[in-house]
Amino acid sequence: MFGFIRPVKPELRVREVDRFQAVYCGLCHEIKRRYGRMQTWFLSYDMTFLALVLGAVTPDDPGTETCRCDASPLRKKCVCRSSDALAYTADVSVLLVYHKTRDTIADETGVKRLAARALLRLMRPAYRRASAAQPALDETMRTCLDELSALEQARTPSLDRPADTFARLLAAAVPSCEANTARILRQMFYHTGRWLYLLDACADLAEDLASGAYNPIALRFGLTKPGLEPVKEQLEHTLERSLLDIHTACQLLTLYRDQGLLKNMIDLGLPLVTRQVLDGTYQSNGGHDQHGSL
Amino acid sequence: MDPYKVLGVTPQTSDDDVKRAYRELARKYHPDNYVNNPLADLAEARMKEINEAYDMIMNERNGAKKAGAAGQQAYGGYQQRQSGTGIYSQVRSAINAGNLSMAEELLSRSPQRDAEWYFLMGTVYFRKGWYDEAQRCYMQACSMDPSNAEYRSALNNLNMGASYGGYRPMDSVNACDCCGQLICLQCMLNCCCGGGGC
Repeated sequence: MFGFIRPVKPELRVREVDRFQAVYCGLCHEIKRRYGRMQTWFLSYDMTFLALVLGAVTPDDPGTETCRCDASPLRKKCVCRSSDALAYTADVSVLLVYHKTRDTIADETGVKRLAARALLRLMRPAYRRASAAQPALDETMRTCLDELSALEQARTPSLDRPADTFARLLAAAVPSCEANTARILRQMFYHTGRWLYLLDACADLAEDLASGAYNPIALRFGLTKPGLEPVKEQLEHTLERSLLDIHTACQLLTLYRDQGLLKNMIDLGLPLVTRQVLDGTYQSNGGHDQHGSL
Repeated sequence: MDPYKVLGVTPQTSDDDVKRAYRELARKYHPDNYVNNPLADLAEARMKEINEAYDMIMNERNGAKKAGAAGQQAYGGYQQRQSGTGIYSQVRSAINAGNLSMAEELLSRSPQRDAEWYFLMGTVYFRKGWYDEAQRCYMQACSMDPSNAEYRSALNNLNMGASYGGYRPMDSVNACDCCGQLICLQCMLNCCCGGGGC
């Protein structure tokens, strides 16, 4: 997806860094086991966050094991064992990547569109299996993204209208669990989705203005030049409200593990990335280029 | 319910530390942090549990003496003050009942677009988490009726966020930077003064 949701490494304990790594690798292994090697290319930090949250609300801990992988063929790494949370996150990841690619075909032109077409064809077998595993989620993702493209086509000059479609899409990615936990997770994921969509629109502003593509930020504030400076305060404010909702929802959850890591990601990571994107100092690789590292 | 578990303390914890733990939790789950939040009822339940746990521990420790837990205020978040025209009072009760789609439907059918309409629409958006739209509507309501205290306080509430819990995501690092600078300054002063033999 976007890779915006990540911890702030200097503020983590050593064991929390190891834990993040183990869940990241565990999810990668799970995707490979269920959907084949190709799907692991699209693994993102955002999905690791989903796996962490869903794992933390489950009472039993699947534990870890050590194994090798493509990225680390010589040294065995500590990897989170397969669990319902990881399996479910793998399904969500495959579905999201497939629908995102479908969206790219609709939005882009030229080489990018051709590449997306080819990719979509390659991804179809995995998508079919994921869709069979989570039919309702697949359907919601499709409707939400269709609604989003309709809003994009109408060039809707609103932040919340298009963001709502993506937020509902992510809120639908809550697995069946205890009623109150599900309610809290839905609220948390809704605002995570809203934040992701709006922040992505902020990050893409210059590119969208150059290509004439739909950008809700540009239309809402009537921006014609790249640069978020004139509207930074307003954007900061509306994004902060979503961060606040993620924070207040999360503190109502009963977390069985990874409290520190999740607190770091929500209370430090999300605001930091927000600030970086609004300042224009955000780097998608986080300034590091090692595989699976923070 | 184990009151010690609820507050995250043990029977050996001192009264002061129990009080501290209680205050910390009460600050976290205070209804002010959940105004217009769809999870307000869950936070309220948690707050009630914390208050009861604190009362139980303090009653047990002080014998019959009543512990002075913070009085729980009834926070509906949204109070009905103005009756207005018929449709608006229907909208208000729909909002209070949490039926946002009905409130939105009623508003979209209303022919007039006055200050109260924008205020109520803003409240629907606020509840939905559509914060930019909510702000636009509240600002419109305030500019159409600048003297209305209800509209102004709604806009303030939206802009303030939940500062009660002390969670200001975008301020956190700036505040730390400030602290860091002060610490640096302090170190430099110490060095200088120490070296100078003051």
